[in-house]
Order: sequence, then structure tokens, then C-alpha cells
Amino acid sequence: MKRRHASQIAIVIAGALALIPAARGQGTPGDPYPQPDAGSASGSGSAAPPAPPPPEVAPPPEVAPPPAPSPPPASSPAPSPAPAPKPPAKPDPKIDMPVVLSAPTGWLLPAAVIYSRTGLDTGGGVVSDNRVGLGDVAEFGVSTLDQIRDKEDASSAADRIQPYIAATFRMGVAESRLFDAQPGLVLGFRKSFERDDSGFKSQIAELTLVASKHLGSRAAVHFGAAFWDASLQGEAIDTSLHDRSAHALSDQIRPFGGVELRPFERSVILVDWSYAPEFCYQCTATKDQIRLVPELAWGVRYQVADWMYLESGVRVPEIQNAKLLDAEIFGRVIFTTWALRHAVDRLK
Amino acid sequence: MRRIAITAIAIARTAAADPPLDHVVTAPTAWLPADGTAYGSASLDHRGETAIDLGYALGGLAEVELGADHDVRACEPSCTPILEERAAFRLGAHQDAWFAGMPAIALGVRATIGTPARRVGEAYLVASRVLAFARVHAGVEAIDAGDGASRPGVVVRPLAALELVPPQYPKTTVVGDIAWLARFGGAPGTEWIAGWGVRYQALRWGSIELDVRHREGEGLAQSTVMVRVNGVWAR
Repeated sequence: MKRRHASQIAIVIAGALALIPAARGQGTPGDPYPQPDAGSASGSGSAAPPAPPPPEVAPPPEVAPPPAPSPPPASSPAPSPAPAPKPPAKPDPKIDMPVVLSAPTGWLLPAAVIYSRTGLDTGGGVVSDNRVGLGDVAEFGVSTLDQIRDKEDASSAADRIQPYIAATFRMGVAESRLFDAQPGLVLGFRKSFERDDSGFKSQIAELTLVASKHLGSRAAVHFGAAFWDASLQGEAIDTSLHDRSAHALSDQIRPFGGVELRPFERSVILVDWSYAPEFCYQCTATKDQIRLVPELAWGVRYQVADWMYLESGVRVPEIQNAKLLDAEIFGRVIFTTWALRHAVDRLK
Repeated sequence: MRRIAITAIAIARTAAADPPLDHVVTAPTAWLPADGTAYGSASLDHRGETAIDLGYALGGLAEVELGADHDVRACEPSCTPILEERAAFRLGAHQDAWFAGMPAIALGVRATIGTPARRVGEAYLVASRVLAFARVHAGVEAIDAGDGASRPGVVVRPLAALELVPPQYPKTTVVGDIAWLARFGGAPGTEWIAGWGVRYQALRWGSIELDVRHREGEGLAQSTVMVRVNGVWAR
């Protein structure tokens, strides 16, 4: 009788030992990426949970192998558990966008995250902006701009110079990194390649310092200042924004900013104010040959998927003149991907 | 008085989800389609003029549209419709979104696609509210029309519309509106256009309407009769 009782106890212990690796394979609740457990014979496991796991974590009946018709002897090895199901992919964190609609933000892309924005507008403008985050402290990008304009003389309507290609480098500190309530701070530099249009060569450069701050989970504000430079050469013109005989230092400095409101989880209302250079080829006054014109934009960014956003809105160049006729409706698609980041992480 | 107040409150509380169509006959409404909804409408009038409009709702608070129509005319002195390709963006809030009894509101901008000599830019602010079997719309519109170098500037005009759904015929809507459009010929200006008709919700996702439109400076004989079909596809 005693021997039979001992045999039953041995069978129960063997069964329990067989269940342990399978139970570890279930992972911690809320942790879809279980950490490798060196002590685990199966090689799969999870970090020990600080609190006792709820009963549904590893219910023995669900993970236990089907009962064998005859229980193995206590000395025989435990049956190998069924392979644990692959854990679901951990969702990537949300990305704070580097641009409101036209104005840059004080947020940087996370390290090795790739961002691509492509858009069209009713004025025939095309924009393509491609960036990659560098080490959580910087960002590099190449883009075609749709904001640089030219016009023949002061009375004529401005037209866009396209394509206008520029490279961007931005570096900064993430929000709340140095102290609580610290806004995200980014120092950015954008410089265009020289562009030849109608026999006139032009170029722009912009140095920006911008601060961005979340106000709760549903709002954010951005405010910054830009130090602009631009040059124009051709026919009898050879001028630049830093030419002090034509422009004061204040002609190069402009504020910009934006507001983001998130009434719904996947939808953000965006409003921003920015400046862009405008070249005038036949203007006689040197001061008018290069001007910084303000621009107001508003729109909505809608998150279609974790990696895709649709953005649409209205942009009004030369907003100081309230020219509704020049308003442009734009549509853009934004893609973001963590694939490079994951590939880098796997190499570590 | 108390009865009137109670009735008014009851009527105000009958507002359900916003109806999806963003126009009455010509005037825009403040209705914003639900998140991910696509819609389209196409019309043909007895003069052979056509219009098409395709829209997509963004996040339940905005909508982007692409379309082409012959609504704007050039009168030099006889009037001929101009085909205009347009895009629009609307941003707004649904009924009761911020407080009970609040009308739906929408701020919209329409712009001509490309840079033709004759262009129109419009911005409007409109409020819409369901009151029992009626839907009331009112707003203002700023119109900026340019013909080459001729740009008279922004003109502000009102717009108003009414839709009635008789309780006995829930699939039928009687519609009527008045709005202003740009008009070319000489210096660009504006002209009023009034429309009325009936819309029948033939399918769960589609409706057909028969409308009559009258324009400023035209006799009754020059009124336009048109047929329009509308489709709304929710995700």
C-alpha cells in the first residue's frame, strides 16, 4: 500500500516537472517578448514576474501534454512539451513626428527608425521627405521642398521652383530627458543644393532651434526660431539674405510654431505657421529680390496603420495678404518603419 | 412656454449620428462622414453638364475631396459653364460633440486644381443641426475668384439650406438651398444659385435625387434640371 502511494506521488512530481518548461514558455502577461532564461532547459522562458501570475497565465490543463495511456515510471525522463506558440510581436512605440505640417518639431525620430513622407497639392507641388533617426539624439534626411517660390516681378503671382532638393541634419534632446517637464529641444540645419531656374541660380539654408512639449496625452505645442539664408544669382542680380547692404539681420530671423490636438486616438488636428523664401527675378529693389513669406497650414493626420498615416489639409502661402485664391489643398502619405531598428537590435 | 421649451429640448435630443452627405443641392453641409467612410456623387443636367465628386473621411473629423463640375460660369455676355477641377478639405465637429444641442460645424476650403487662368478659392464655415424631421444648415462663404491678373479680392456671402424627411416617408428627403458661386466675364464676381429637389434613399448605401436650380439673372425657363446619384461606403 505504501509502495503504491509512493508511486502515485512520484508520477505527480514527474508530471509537474514536465509542465514547468511549458509553463515558462507562456511568458509573462503583457510581455510578448519573454527574456531568455539561462536556467531553463528548454532555452525559452521569461523574466520572473514580480507578482504571482494570474491563473490564466499557465493553466496546467491547457499546456499539459495529452495524458498517456499508461503513466511512465517515476525514473523515466519527462515527456517533452509541445512547442510553445510564437509570442505575438511587441507593438512598436508611437513615433512623434519630426514635422507638424510645414514647421519642424522638437522631436527626433528614434534611433534607426525610417520616416518617409510623400505628398501632392492642388498647385502642382510635390514633396518627398525621407529621414532616419540616429542614436536617439540626431536625425538625417533628404527632401524635395515645395515651399520655395519665385516670381517675375513684384506684381506677378508666385510660382514654385521644383524640384528643390535639400539635406537636413537635426540633433537634440528628447522631452523630459534632462529634467521633468523639459520640452524636446532640437537644433536643425537644412541646406539646399544649388538650383538653376530660368537662368537664375538660387540656394537656401535654414538653422532652426525648436522646442516641443506634450500637454497631457491629447495636445502638444511647438515653438521655434529660424535663422535663414538664401542667395540668388543671374543676369544683373547677385544678392543674398546675409548681404547687409540689402537686408538687416532681422530679415533673416523668423519665428515658427504649431499646435497638435488629438481628439481621437488615431486622429490629430495640426496647425502651423512657418516661413519660406521667395525669389523675385525682375524686382529692382534688392530687398525685394529675396523675401521670407509667411505660410499658414492646417490639417489632419490620420493613422491608418501602425506604419502608415494619411495627412491632408490646407496651406495658404502669403497669409498676410489673405489670398484665398492661392490656397492649396494637399494630401500626403507617411510611412514609418522600425525594421532597420529591429535588424540592428538582432545584430547586438 | 414650458411646453415649447420641453418640445425644443426633445427635438434637440433627437439628433442621431450625422447624415453622411456633405452637400444639399449646391450648399455644403457640416456633416462629416464617419471615420474611414468613402463617398461619391455624380450628376448630369438637361444641358449635358456633368459633375463628379469623390471624398474620403479622415479620422472622423475631416474629409478630403476631389471633383470636377460645371457650376461656375463665364458670362460674356451669354453664359457658358466652365469645367473646374477642384479639391476640398473640411475640418469640423459632429453634432453634440462638445455640448448637448451643439450643431455640427465645419470649416471647409475648396481650391482649383492646377493653375489655370480662371481659378476659384472658397472657404466656408457652416453649421448643421437635425431638428426632428428637419435638417437645418446655415453659414458664410468667402469667395476669391481670379481671371488672369484680374483679382477683385475676397467676397463674403451667406449660405442656407433645409432638408425635410417626412416621417411617413423616411427614405425621402425634400431639399432646398441657396448659395453663391463665382462668375467670370469682365471682372470676376459672384451670383446666387437656388436649388430644390427630392432625394430618395433607394439603397442602404446609395441615393438618387432630382433637383432644379435657378441662377441669378436667369428666367424660369433657363432653370436647370439635374439628376444626381450619391453613394456612401462605410469601412
